Amino acid sequence: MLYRLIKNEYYKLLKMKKIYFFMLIIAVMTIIPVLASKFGGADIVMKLNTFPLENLSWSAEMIIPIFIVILGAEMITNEYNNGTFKLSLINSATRSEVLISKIIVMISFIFMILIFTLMFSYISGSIFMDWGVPFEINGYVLSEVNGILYTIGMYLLSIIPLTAFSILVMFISFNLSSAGSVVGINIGIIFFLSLTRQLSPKLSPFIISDYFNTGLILNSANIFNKIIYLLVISLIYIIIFYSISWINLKNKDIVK
Amino acid sequence: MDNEILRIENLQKRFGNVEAVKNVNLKINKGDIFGFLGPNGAGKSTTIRMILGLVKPDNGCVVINGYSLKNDYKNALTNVGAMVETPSFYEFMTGYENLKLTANLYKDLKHVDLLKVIKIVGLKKKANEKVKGYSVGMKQRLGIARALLNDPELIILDEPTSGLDPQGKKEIRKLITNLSKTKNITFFICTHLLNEVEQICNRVAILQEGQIISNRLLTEDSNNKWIKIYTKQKDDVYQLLKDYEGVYDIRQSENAVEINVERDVIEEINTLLFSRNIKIKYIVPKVESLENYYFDKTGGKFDVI
Repeated sequence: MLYRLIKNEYYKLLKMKKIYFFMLIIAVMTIIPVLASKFGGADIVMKLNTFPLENLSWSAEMIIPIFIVILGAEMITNEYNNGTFKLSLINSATRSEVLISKIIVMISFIFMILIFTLMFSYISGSIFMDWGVPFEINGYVLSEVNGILYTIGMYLLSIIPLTAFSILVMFISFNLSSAGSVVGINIGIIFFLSLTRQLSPKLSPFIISDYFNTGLILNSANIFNKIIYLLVISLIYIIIFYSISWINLKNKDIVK
Repeated sequence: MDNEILRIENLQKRFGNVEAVKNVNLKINKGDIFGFLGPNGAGKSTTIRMILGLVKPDNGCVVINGYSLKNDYKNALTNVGAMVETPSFYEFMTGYENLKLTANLYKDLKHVDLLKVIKIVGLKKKANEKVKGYSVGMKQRLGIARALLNDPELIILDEPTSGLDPQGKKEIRKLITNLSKTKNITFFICTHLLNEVEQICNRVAILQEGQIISNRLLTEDSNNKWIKIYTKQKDDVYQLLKDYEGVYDIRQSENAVEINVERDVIEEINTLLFSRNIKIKYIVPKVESLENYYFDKTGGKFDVI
């Protein structure tokens, strides 16, 4: 049943115009700096070897979390309000299967949008940008291939904190009755977390949005520690918000 | 027991201070078209949602096809199709795509099965149009098509003709009757429309303020019968029969005397009246409409359309 539910979630996802709109936004936001770098004069200089990681910075910190919020509201709050959430349940799917299928599809979406960002960054950048100087991490210079592998690694790593955030979003989506409130409150949370990170550096290791931009790990004195923190904090968020969502859903009366 | 498809025992549900469903007990047999009647707010939809596992009962149990919903959820719902209140769809998808989403949840359903149910509900020409352009009637039909997809033994329909014009209502009733006859599907129809139940159901239960206040066959099964004796000598008949053994109730109407009498006694009464030289125009069975029956039971809290 889980496989069939996941298939259905994909089917719905691909039928939504929003997904293609998200991709268009990523494409436009990627092409602007590329064109600026080419035609904006000497002040704006970007190189292809670092451009995808710079692109990850704004996309993972701002744009993708907003996409997650919109998608969470669509997949859960809107479905509940429209009465379509119950359709799988009355066809023998269990509540845990429905919840897990939605989480898996959300993770797939994050993966898909990150891969699109990465590929579009490389493809569009390769048309107008020079490769630039090789990567340097804590004094180690990476070859071109290793630089690409490192970039891919950082993109893949950012799936983990973004997944943790998406489960927080799903928890909120289950508990609010309007999609507008879900989007508003979650965007508020994104800004609140961002502000807390800036105002209280001591708290920032515990704030999930601190790990969205994995490109920043490059600047850390201890990359290994930073990755461990990322994994542990993400896991804590996932466990807490998945557990509460599951308990909520298990006991929820589906009245719409 | 073998013939039983749905059993509800002591079902209870409270929302805050409101006791929505109070100790509901029901038994539905295979092949029944069961009408679940009640005024708005009586607890019908809550009961249906508990049958389908959408709302958790505070107490009681639901057994479908011998499987307890609580302990064997998947098996209990495997052969059930349902349309709960106004059927909901992904409006940005076509009718066919919406059905496909349900079909995807079952192992063996194929394109041909979708076409079959689309044909049954008469949506062949509209199946590839987006649902947002559908009329209420078309959505109801699509909802029924979806409920039919897994070839269920039991179909639960909540207000299946809600929002339809008289022609649409008639078509849905015809569809339900046909499906019951041709596929031997058991229907559990929740409605507040008396005539709907009267026309298609063979058994009816009435729910008021969360309680079953009546549960009976609509086909005649009683030992007693109401008959009307048309005569000019109403007073004589009344005096003669008011204490007669086997007569349970007697009333005088404008030009007849109505008696509730044991079936076996009817012939005896006929002979008695003849022997006392009472001139009888005719004796006819009194057809008690469901409407009258339920107005009696509920104190007139029903919509009659």
